[in-house]
Amino acid sequence: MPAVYDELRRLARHYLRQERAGQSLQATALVNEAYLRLKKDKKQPWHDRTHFLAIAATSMRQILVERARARNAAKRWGSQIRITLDEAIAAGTGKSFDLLALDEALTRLAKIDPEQARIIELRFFAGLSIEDCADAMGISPATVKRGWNMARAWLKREIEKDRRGGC
Amino acid sequence: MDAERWQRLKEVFHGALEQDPASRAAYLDEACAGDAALRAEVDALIANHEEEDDFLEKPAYQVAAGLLEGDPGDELLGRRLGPYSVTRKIGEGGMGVVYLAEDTRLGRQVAIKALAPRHTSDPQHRERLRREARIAATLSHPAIATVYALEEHAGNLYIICEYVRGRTLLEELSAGRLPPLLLLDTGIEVARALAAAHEQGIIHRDLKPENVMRTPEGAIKILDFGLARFQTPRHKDAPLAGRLTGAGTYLGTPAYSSPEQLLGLEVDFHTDIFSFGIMMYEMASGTHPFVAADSVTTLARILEAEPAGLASLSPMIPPGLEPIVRRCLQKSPGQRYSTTRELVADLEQLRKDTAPAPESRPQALAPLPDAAYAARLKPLWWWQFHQVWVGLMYYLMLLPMWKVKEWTPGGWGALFFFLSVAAVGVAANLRIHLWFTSVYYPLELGEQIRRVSIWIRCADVLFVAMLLTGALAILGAHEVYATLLIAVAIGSLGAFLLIEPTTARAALDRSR
Repeated sequence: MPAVYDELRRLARHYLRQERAGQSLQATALVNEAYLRLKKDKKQPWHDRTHFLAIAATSMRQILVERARARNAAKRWGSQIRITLDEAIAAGTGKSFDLLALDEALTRLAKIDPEQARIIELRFFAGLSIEDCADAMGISPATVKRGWNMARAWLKREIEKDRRGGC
Repeated sequence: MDAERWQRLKEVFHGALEQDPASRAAYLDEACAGDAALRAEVDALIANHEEEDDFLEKPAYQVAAGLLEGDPGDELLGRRLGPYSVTRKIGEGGMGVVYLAEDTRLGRQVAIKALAPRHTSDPQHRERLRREARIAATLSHPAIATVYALEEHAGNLYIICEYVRGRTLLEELSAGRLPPLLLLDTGIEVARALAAAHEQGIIHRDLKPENVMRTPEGAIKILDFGLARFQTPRHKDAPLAGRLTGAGTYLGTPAYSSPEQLLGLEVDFHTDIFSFGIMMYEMASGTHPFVAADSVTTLARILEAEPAGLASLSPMIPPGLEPIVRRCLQKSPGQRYSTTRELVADLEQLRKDTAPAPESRPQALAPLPDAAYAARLKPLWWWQFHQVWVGLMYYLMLLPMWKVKEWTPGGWGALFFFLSVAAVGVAANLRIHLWFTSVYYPLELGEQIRRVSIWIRCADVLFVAMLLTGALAILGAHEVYATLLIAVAIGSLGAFLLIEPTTARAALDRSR
């Protein structure tokens, strides 16, 4: 059993080394929650490292999406109903971030190209490098890079389309 | 988008990227021959790809940092909340911001906890919080901070409770473990409060050193009793108590949650007993029973590992404490104490056995926190004296070393002196630094010694080597001098290897 959560531990330590202490505390909290959820859900034993990493990345994605939803719900009850523009993607510059839009687009991508969706999940939600991602998925780094390029471009487009109200 | 079309899109996209920009258009013309829709898609994708931005480049936990932070707010500063006049901000807890305020009707100070907006958005959740606050308010015990009221203003919820002056156990623990009698007395006071609350059916759920305070008079007060649900809900019934960081940092504290809490299972009063066990272990030994290099391992240890035996950590700990703490820290709630009164009884018995003297109030801790810490940490004066003395002696030794350099021809002499200066510089200055730290920053002394010791040792060894080398170099011409140098070398070795470690250990033993 110890070998199984080595990856999360590695992530926790990796996050700890981040420059900004505030960020590292938050990221660590995220990894802890992911670990506990995985521990709790005994029905999902992982077969190997790849599977485990995939589950961990998905778990972190779920946690973030839940919080984004709760945040949005709170905002609607707030005294200011104005939708804050800083949460929408500024045209093409990707300065700010709408996590829920990404989540929806990513779900759509997973139906079309599961491999690319997995790459995005591992790289964006679990913060893996291209090499680590290739390692985890059992494919070549070149394949990861190609999939990453295309998925990024496609997702960006999808989110833009959603924001403008469909095409 | 069907599978075939997607495949084509992929091929064309990657193929286009492999071309250099100049020949891209031609490639696309050929590849998409006749399929205008495909061409449009690929063009759009390539355009997106070419944009220079960091979309998704930074990992989620950086980009979505705003989601992971709490919702701190300083809106109340200097304002009034009904009859309460807000004076200043005390801090930020798990529920939100905490303010110090004055109840203008009764003229007493209170603490106001502003709950984060996400708690107040759902009407059902609000009702639940109101019920919780009502239950928590029924608790009336000298060692439990009273909840006075729950106020609602402009859609936000505020908890008004007793303002407690003093130090938290967390601050006390940063100075090291507690002496045996204080340890037991504190444990008994906390346990009695827990027992009283448990008998009324109220569970704390978030017991940790940050939530236990000691007033200047020496009394114990437990904060936030029964208000754990007001924290950010993560699992049903089970907020993750405390923050987890790597060992050796000052930020954050290891988790004090019980296994059932972490796994989101049903919790009852047994969870408080587990948290109490962790606290007792820490107060007795100065270390957390499940400490580890990273947070995930700490969680894993809480869930699965047995902590090291208390007796092995310090001879000062009363031996009868080990079985009590062990029983509190059982992974399965059913194997812990079946009532909190039993725990209190065991602790009281242990206290009687440890010293027949009546309960003592720790008056010594009454003065300002800094003075109290300094007093408990003050190394024996002769260690300080030793550091300064050795430092000065080192500087003085530069004179004979210079003489050796004069008597030694050429480059070797210069090299010899250079190395000696280096050794003296490091060994003397670091010792002075430690002495300075012990006087002005006693809390950091342990840490500084840990960091600096290896360098002092290396410099000491280098210096002794230089002494012997110098002695050998001048042995022919200046026997007396050489003998002196060798004598100093031997004396220094004795001091560094025997005397210094002993004085350092004696100086640093905080549990006197």
